[in-house]
This record gives sequence, C-alpha cells and structure tokens, in this order.
Amino acid sequence: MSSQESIFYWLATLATAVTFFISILSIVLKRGSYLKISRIFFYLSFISLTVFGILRWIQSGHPPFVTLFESMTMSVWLVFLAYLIIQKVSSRSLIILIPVSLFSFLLLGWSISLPTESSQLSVALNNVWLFIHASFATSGAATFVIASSFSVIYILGEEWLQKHIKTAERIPEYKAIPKQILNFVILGLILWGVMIVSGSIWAHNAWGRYWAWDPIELWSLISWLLYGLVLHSRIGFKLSNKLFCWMTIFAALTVIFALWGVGYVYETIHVYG
Amino acid sequence: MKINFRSTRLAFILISLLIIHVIFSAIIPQKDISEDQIINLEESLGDYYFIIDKLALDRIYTAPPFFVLLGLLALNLTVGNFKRFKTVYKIEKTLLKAKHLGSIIFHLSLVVIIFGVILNYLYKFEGVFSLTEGQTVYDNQGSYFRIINGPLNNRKYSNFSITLNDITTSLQIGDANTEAADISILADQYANPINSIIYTNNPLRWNNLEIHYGMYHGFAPKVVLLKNDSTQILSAFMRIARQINKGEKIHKDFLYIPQENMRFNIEVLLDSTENIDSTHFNIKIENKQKQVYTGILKLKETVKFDDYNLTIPQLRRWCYVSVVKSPFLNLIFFGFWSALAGMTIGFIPRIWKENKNI
Repeated sequence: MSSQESIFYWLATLATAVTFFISILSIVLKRGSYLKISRIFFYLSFISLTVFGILRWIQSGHPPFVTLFESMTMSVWLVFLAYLIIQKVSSRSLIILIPVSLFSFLLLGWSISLPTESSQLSVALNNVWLFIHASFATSGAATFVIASSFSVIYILGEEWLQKHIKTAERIPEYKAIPKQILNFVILGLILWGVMIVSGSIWAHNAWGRYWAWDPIELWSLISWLLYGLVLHSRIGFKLSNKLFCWMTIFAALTVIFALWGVGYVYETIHVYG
Repeated sequence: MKINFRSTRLAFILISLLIIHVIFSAIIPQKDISEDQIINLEESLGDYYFIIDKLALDRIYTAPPFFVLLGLLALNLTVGNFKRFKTVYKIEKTLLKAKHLGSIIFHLSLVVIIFGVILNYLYKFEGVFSLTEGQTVYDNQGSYFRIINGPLNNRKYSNFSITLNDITTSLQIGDANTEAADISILADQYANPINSIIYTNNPLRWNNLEIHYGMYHGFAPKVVLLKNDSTQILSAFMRIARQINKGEKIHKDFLYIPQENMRFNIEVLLDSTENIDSTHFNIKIENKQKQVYTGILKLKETVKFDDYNLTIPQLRRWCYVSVVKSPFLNLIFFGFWSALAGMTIGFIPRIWKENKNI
C-alpha cells in the first residue's frame, strides 16, 4: 500500500469504527437521534474508501478485485453502496447501520492482516472474465450481508426496537422486513449465480474443465443451494419469520467462508494475486 | 410408502441430500481430484479405510447415488413444475406474467443443466500429456499421463500426434504472455502440421477437441551418468516439478538408481533472469547411504567422483498439455444462461412493486 492509499484506508476503518460505536451508543443510551450523527461518519468512511479504491485502481492499472485484501475492501465498499441505495429508497432504514458498520469494521480488520500489496495480473487472471466473475462475487456477498443485516434487526424484535429507538422514523416498518429480506436473498442468488456461471465459463477456457470441484467452487455451490433451500422453505412451507431470518444469517456465513475463508483450510487452485 | 414426485417437500429433501453430498466431498478428499491427500487418508485410517471405500465416499461424483440423486431432482423439477403451472394456468388463464414465466424458465433450465452434466460425464474425454521440449507424443491410450474417460465415450485413438516445440517464459511481470507453449499437431489426414501457441485462457480448438496448456511447468535437465569404463548408467531427461513455497520457486527432485543403490539429488539454481545458459545445479549423491559427492555443477560441465562421470548436457522445460472433449458443454452453458435469465425475469416484478415499504 502506498502512503496515500493507507491514509484513506485507515481513515475509512476509523470512521467505520466510530460509526459503529456511536450507533451502539444510541441504543445503550436510548437516544435514537445519535444514529444521525453516526451516519455522518458513515459518509466519511464511504468517501475515503471510494478514494482508496480509485487510487488503488490508478496505481495498479486494473480494477481492485484481484487479491484477497482487495476483494474484502471492495465488498465493504459495495455493502456501503447498497446501504446508500436503501437509504435513498427509504429513510426508515437508519438502524441497519449497526450491523452494516459492525460487519464492515470486522472485514476491514480482517483484510489488514493479509498482504496489502497490489499484485500484477498473471496470465491466467488477465482476462475479462476476472472482472465479471470477481465483481459479481463481491456484489453477491454484499447483497447477502445486507439481507443478514435486516435479519439481525428483525430478530431483535419490534418491542425491543421501539423501546430503544424511540422515533418510528428510524426503524423500518417491522412487518415488511421479511419481505425485504426475501428480495435481497433472490437478488443475491442471481448475483451469486452469475458468479458461478461466469467462473465456470472462464474455468473451461483456462483449464479445460467447466467444473473441477475445487474447494471454492464447492463451497460457493453449497451456499447457493442453501439460499435456494431458504427461499423454498419460505415460499413453499411458510417458514416462520424468525427462523427464516436465522437461516439467512447462517447461509451468509457459508458465503463468507466460500469467498474468503476457504484459503485458510484447503489448498485451492483459486490463487489470488 | 407412497412417494409424491411432484412435491416441494421432496425437492427440499433432495436439495438437502445434494448439500450433504457436496459437504462430504469437501471433508473427504476425492480420488479423481486430489490423489496425494487420499494416500494420507488411507495411511491415517489404516484398516478402517474400507468403510469409506465401500460407501464410495472417496469418489462421490462418479458413484451411482449421485447420479440417482440428480435424476430424481430432474424428475421432481419437471413433474412438480408441470403440475404447479397447470394449476396456475387454470386460475390465471395465462402463464405470460413475468413472475410465472421467470420461474418456469429457471426451473426447466435446471433440468437442462442436470441432463447436460450427466450426458457430458458419459461422453467426455480428458487426457493429459506430460511433454518435454522437442518431444513428440502420439494419441495412444498408453502415452497419456492421465486419462478420464466417460463410460460411453468411444473416441478412437491414434489419429494425431503433438510435438512441443518450445515453451516461452517471460519474466516481465504483468506481461500477458508470461508462459506459453508452441505446439505442432500432425493429424493423419493432413500433410502439414498445424502450429499454434497455446497458453492459459487460449486453448487450441481443433477437430472437436480442445488442447489446453497445463498450468504448471518445470525444468527437465538431461542427466548423463557414466562409469569410467563408459558403461551408461543413466541418460534421461529428469522432469522436475516446480514447487512454490511462500512465493519462492523451488526446482528440486531426486532419483533412485537401484542397480547402483544410488540416490541422486538435484536442485536447479536459477539466476534472476532464469537464463538457461547460466543455470547451475546443486547436486548431492549418496551411494549405499553414504554421501559420495556434493557440489555445484554448470551446464555441460563434467565431474568425476569414485568411478563415475556426471554431465548435464542439456536443460529443457516441460509442461502438461491436456486434450479435452466435452460434447455437451454448449447444452450446459445454455442451461446456465437461461437459468440466470429466468431468475432475472422473475425478479423484476418484485422490485417494481415492493420497494416502497422498506
């Protein structure tokens, strides 16, 4: 990381931490208005992470999706972007900032433990499919994270929310949340599906195998099937809302493992960088 | 027990079983995917390995239960969706609403994918050659280093030969053609060979086959070991697989010569430009478990020890080249894209209607 990059990276991390701290404070002190202050820090974090991404792109000459570190930071950026869009659609989703900032802070912390140098593209990676494949993987993960963030809020319960955040303006209409989660789950399934398909076509070009049961392929298939199961149990069996939320969170863990955790456990041909 | 093949409940059970299958394959190393790990598992489990073997847990994706599962899933998807949309049609008198249309396309695409995958498995051919520069191999069953043959594949062999002319490596990082292989193919029916440069992401498509450059390459020094009375003990290209340990490339291997009870260790030492002419070799030779020679040797240099003469006259590179036939690939990819299209079509009305009440 160059010094300019690291300034913006650390600024983003710090701002995310402050966002989380203030938003948690708003619940502990039962002051819903604090959420608006935490949103200012969220904007600061989003802007610095955007600048970081642009600097990285200019410096390395390719979109920042290549190393594990870049994939994590860009996922955080996409989660932020998704949150901004939700904000635009409805101002009543301020409270989602708590799980979003917690997740982002954890992921940024995880990412800094990895090698942060940008790498040159090797011959296998220098391909248009990389950007299709990697951008859909990160945006799919971001969508699932947003779905789980809504789930966390739903699990906390309506009474709890009303007790701790007094104005109804800052919390989404409680009964509408599961429907919203379902939308994000379907969107995530599409994005994750595009990721698997584009990866498969690319693998065929690169290695002559459209599917090689590589650990990353395997775990991304598991998470796709799990979300499919969650979806069908919701639509077909009228699963209770709470259980549906728990299953969404559980499936999100497999997504996170598939995308970033597999390398710690298995030897994989999906070598980043 | 009466099984209802069109129920969502069955679909639920089948998808769960599929997930369990995949998770098992993630835990237990699979025979056709990672052979080294299988050996480790066999050693550590000892006599109990037969349980895994009997249940075919070490070859899940080629065992019958997996295909039965896929077949049932395809049946369930077809029958279940047919019944469901018949009911929908009775009530709504149309299936052209985006919601239903997307769902139909998506679920039928899954059936197409399952059929494509099974057919491709039955008819596929995949053979891997291991080739040293200058070497020619023929398309015989015996000359492949590894073959994966579909049960119904009846491809005839011996209709072409592949020559590996040259492997080029460029050390310029970021260069798109970091590694590439120049190959010639001579087929029975043609007078002139077809020349092509293949590299990752750029296979040669020829005669319904695809010829891919393997990911890994290494060095192949020619090792000539003579006795003082000129009897030849060894004269062969030793293929040394490149290992990458924490980002550092290591080219190291050993050879055991039984008639002399000799163990020959070699490491290729490269300078920063990986120039073949300035390469050195780190040699250690043990005879009857005693070290008889250790030293650094240059290319084309001869050393004498005990009653032996050792020379490395040539250094070449080697790589894997795989020959792939996947006849139903387009069907699978068609299924993939139409599934994605179906999901998207079905999703559009959701965002249209419901985004206002977050």
